[in-house]
Amino acid sequence: MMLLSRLKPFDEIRDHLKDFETLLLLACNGCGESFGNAEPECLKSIEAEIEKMGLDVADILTVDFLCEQLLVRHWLDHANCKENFDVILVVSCGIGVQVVSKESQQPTYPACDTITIGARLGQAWGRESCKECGQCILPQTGGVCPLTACSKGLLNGPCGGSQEGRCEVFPETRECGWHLIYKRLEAAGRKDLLVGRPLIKDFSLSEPPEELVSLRNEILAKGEETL
Amino acid sequence: MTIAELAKKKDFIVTAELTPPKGADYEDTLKKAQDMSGCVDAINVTDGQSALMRMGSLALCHLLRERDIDPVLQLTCRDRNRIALQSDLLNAFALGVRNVLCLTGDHVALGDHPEAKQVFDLDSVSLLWAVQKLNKGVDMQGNTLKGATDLCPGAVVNPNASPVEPQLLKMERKIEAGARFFQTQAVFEIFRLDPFVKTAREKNVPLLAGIMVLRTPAMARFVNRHVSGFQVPEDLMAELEASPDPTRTGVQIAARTINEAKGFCQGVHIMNAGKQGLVQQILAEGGITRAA
Repeated sequence: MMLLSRLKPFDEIRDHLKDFETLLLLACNGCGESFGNAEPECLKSIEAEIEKMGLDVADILTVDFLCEQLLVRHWLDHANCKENFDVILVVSCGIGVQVVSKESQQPTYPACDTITIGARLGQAWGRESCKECGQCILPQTGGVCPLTACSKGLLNGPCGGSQEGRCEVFPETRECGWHLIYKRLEAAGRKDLLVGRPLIKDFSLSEPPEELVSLRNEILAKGEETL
Repeated sequence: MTIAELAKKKDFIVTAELTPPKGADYEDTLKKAQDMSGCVDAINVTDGQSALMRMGSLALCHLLRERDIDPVLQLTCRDRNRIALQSDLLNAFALGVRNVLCLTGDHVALGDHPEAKQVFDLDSVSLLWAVQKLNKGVDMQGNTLKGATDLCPGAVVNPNASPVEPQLLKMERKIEAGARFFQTQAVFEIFRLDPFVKTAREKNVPLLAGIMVLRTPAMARFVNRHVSGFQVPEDLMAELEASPDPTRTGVQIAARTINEAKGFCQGVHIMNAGKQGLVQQILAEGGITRAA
């Protein structure tokens, strides 16, 4: 269990949430607990920052393994406040954000950048959906990651090869990732995100910073002591 | 002369595509280029098209320049990271190449080295943006260059895409990133160009319609299976299959499309006409006779 993610700067989160009023804070208590982002005190501090932005926090839910799609569906179906929020902020790795995005009606944004999934992919099944790139761009791409959903990992729109929404390389088995992104952004009224300055990845961000590596080593050392 | 400069001076620009050899012997390739050079304004040299490993674009562009033929360097993001791409742009400029067609590149699974690692550090849009930076005298990271480039970046759109709107949005993004001309993927039904021509006109960027020469029914079936981005329409397939002289029919189809493109686009870009003399035939049939 070595999933390392780090909270995005609040300036970035604020930028994505500025047009919303009421927020559901949804945190993953699966692998995420290894870095403490889903700990109650961390969620409280996120809540305080959100309220400072002028948004109401309708509820805070903590779910074990947001990568488990049926579990997420169950939680969202039974969320008491499901009519009362217009945006979801997800504290998890990129997989959790994309599962919630698939299952929710509301726009879904990541609170974290995922840096490494180290040892395992939680309960996720199916195709890889998070590259742990450390620079989560799901807010700009409708909650669908182009690095994994597009067979070329393109960041700035579809290649010329997709037809009828199918990937040109694997037409039988894959939808065109950019077609999915286009549909999501069209439904959200955010096609403006498909133009403008190109997105260019900073690959240096996918290297785990030293403090996270140290934390992992501490946890491993503790584990050895208890053996 | 760059494609952007040509567009200001000429009513109708003609470019044609040249594929580098699979191997070290480039004599036949150069002969094809010299044959067609009298009737085209510039020759595009492809860069590992369909992910097939071949001689690179830059070497042939240089050989064309030595023979006073204006080349268009095709540069894809599949095989190089941003350091290599910027370096190759500087290489191209040093060798006198000015036109650069910025492409993402075909997936390795489509080519003859499916086991290769594909790069895609950048894509067509960010590559255009990189050219813009080098033209301003800085690299992508903002470091000052000793001498700026003066490259003319171009881009591709696929009018056959379905749905069409994501392609149009990407076209806008490419213009914002600095595209100064467009050459389209092969188009057989000229109406498909309508929304792209509209955008090109609004933004004042020349657009050359892609013309593909279908030489035989077997070749048309082959491109349908293996070339990304379009399908030969069924009525044209039938026309080719019924023809006693399919190459002649293919030339007529291409000439017909050129005629339809006149007065609508700033020119045409002829693809897959490798067989000697074919480009000349198509242009003569399409009513374009001139020396470059």
